[in-house]
Amino acid sequence: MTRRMVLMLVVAALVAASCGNLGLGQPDCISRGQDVSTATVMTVQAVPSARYTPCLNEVRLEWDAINWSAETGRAGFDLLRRDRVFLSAEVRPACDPSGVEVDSGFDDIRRFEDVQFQQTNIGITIIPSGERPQIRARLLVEDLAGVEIDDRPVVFTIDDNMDQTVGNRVNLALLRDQYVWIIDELDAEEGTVELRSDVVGVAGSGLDPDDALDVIEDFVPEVFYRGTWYFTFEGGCITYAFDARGALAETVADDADDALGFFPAYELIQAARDAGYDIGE
Amino acid sequence: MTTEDTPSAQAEPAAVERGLPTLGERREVRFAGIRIAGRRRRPSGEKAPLQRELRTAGRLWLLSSIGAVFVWVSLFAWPASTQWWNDRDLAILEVIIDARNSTLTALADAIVILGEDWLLRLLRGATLLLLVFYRRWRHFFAVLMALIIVQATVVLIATFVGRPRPFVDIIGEWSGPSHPSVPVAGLSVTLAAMAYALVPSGRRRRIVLAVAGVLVAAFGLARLYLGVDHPSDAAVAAMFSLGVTVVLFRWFAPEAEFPVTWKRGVTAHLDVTGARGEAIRRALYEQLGMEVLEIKPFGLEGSGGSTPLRLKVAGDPDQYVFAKLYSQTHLRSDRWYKVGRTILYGSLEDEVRFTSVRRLVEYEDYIQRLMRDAGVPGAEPFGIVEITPEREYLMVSAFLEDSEELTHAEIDDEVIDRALRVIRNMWDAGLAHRDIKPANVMLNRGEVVLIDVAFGTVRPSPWRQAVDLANMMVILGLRVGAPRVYQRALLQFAPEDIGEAFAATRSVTLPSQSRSSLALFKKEQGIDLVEEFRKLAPAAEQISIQRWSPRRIWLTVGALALGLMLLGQIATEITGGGIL
Repeated sequence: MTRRMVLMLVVAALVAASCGNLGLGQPDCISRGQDVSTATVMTVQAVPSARYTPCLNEVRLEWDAINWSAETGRAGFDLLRRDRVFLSAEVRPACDPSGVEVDSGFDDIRRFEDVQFQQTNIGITIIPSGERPQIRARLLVEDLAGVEIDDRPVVFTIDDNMDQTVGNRVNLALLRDQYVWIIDELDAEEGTVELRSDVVGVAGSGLDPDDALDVIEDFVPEVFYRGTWYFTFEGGCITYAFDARGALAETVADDADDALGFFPAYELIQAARDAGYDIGE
Repeated sequence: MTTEDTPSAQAEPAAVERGLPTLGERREVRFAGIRIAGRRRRPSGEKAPLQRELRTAGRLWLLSSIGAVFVWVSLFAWPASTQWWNDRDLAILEVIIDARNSTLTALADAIVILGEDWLLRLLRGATLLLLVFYRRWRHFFAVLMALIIVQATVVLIATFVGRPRPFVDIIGEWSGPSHPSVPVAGLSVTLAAMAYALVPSGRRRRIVLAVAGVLVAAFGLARLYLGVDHPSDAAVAAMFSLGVTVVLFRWFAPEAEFPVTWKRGVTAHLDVTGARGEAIRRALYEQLGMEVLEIKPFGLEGSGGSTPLRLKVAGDPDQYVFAKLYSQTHLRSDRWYKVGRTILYGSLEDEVRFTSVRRLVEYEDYIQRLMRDAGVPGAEPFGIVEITPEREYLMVSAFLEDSEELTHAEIDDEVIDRALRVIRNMWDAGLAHRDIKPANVMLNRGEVVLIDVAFGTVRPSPWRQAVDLANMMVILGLRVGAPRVYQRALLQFAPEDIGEAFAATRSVTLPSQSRSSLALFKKEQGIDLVEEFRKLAPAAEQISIQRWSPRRIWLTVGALALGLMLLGQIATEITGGGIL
């Protein structure tokens, strides 16, 4: 396809979007030759300096893109699942990214992630204080294999690094957001555990393992994926603000990567300019 | 009405002997000193006065609104017309944008402040508050409706149409799709609604509307200069908003019925000058044959349920008649009054609302005549006059010229007996007045006369009859003291009746005029008159006035919910959201 033809198609789409088509449409990540929606054009008009604007690839079946809005200096939309917004995508001329930089997959885009993630799995670290508790710990893991709390799998880990004190091992496990079962000689003999955690109310000694699981069940944290992804590039910044809970939190990051993309605003601006229109810098 | 129909044009018609009911066109009688000259029946097809009419300006604005809709359709329905509009818009914009310079940009930036949210919110809020303060509810709701209709429509259409901002260098602030221009619509409807709700019609309003037009034009032009709107966006928004506002005010708050005035009176009182005054004169002449020489509001402070008038009519000599003007406003007041009473006390008695103004006046006329038949003296009724069918009626009766309120008159035992006889007669006839208060009990040439029988009822509850007695005794007691009134009352009522009357008496059963008179009496003389009566009468068990019913519960819950919604809306408006 020659550049002239591409230009003609984009201009035709632009004119169609500007007046012929009723409705705003969605800011779709189109390929060349497809119609540009009014939403896309206005997103570009809102932040004319931005090289890219957020756009939608194929959205998962149960997701809806809603609340599209554009005004001077910002434009964006929300993704909704079961009547709840879990992601807001927005473009602005600039932003102040935080978190960890990760590879964006694009040469001209930098990506930062500043998120908190509570996984579905419930982790319990068993810390035996000696040899006999160690044997008891292994037996316990075998007995409780496949156990679930609120349909969420419980993953047991035995920290039997006897070079470390029990206290150190407990602290390390708590740092990893694990629940801790300590088994000492008396527990090994009586078949009980001592439960510790960072959650207020989740603690106790001399507990039967089933009772310890019940205590955890009462305070089990909700699964979530919260935080912001930042994509910075020439003349703009796109943010994805996440607030996903439950099963969605497990997959939202991967799915968002697939569902959202970057519309090359600079191409649209240039095509419009070549056609005598001015929609951006 | 032809010239020869007017009284002055008639050549001394001969008086007829027959009574008023048989008086037809071109005949004349003298009735109680009033000259009554032939009546005229409005022929089929002839419009009644005070019809809601759009008039020329209203029609023009209606057409402009329709024009706006046509532009919308042509803008976005057919590709050819779409392209035509787009080319024209961009051509105009380019001319305007070519003229950009720093001075003009500064000026445009200043002008667009007119469309700022905070300013529009301030103007709309102040307008609505003023209308609430002056209790101009009709205009209040007209403004509210105009704002809601225009805002909701333009936002909906902007989203539906989804037109991008002009493809030019944009140097101003914008938000959302461009067509129609929401800020231009917002400013237009605000200024137009303010002009129609706050400025009396005539030259002043025309000047204000002209200024508003200039401001809207300047605002629209500034937005074009900044490149944020297409010319068609601004033009259509202004046409639509002004059209909707003008048509809405002409239809919902027509000037003839709801003129803009700045008097803070009882809301139910209607203005009787201008078109309504003319309609009253014409209706009285045509329907009762009375030539009205003067219309004056009379005793407004004592009446919230109608507009009482004193009419001077031609006679030998000229006479006064009394008239009560009822309209839908009064009908609504009556409904709300009854809803309020039901919520506060339950169904004390018949709180069923009237379904139309006609029913309201028919009922009052019926009660008035029934009372007279029962020997309860009242003003002579002359009949019902229709001003506008189903919307406005006038009840005309004799004017009690030499009468004075019982609380201001000289009272002797005979007057006391007569006043109590009025209650006795109502008891015997199975009637109750339900609004026995000083302003409604007059002494007219030695006779005790009851007026304002609108609340009267047939076969009332014994409780209500007891309350009527207590209220009359209170009025008399204010003048001559409780012991004397009690002694005279024993001549016509059993002691137990009087005991029951004061057992039923509460603050709520006493009309507010009586309550304040009682409070003054207690302050001046240190006597609690009601307690005094209770001590004199045989002890009776207090009668509860709280009556619960499913309707009362439903209305109370509804009122609470409405109140909460209102509070929520006020909070939303204060925090920057809402319809303002």
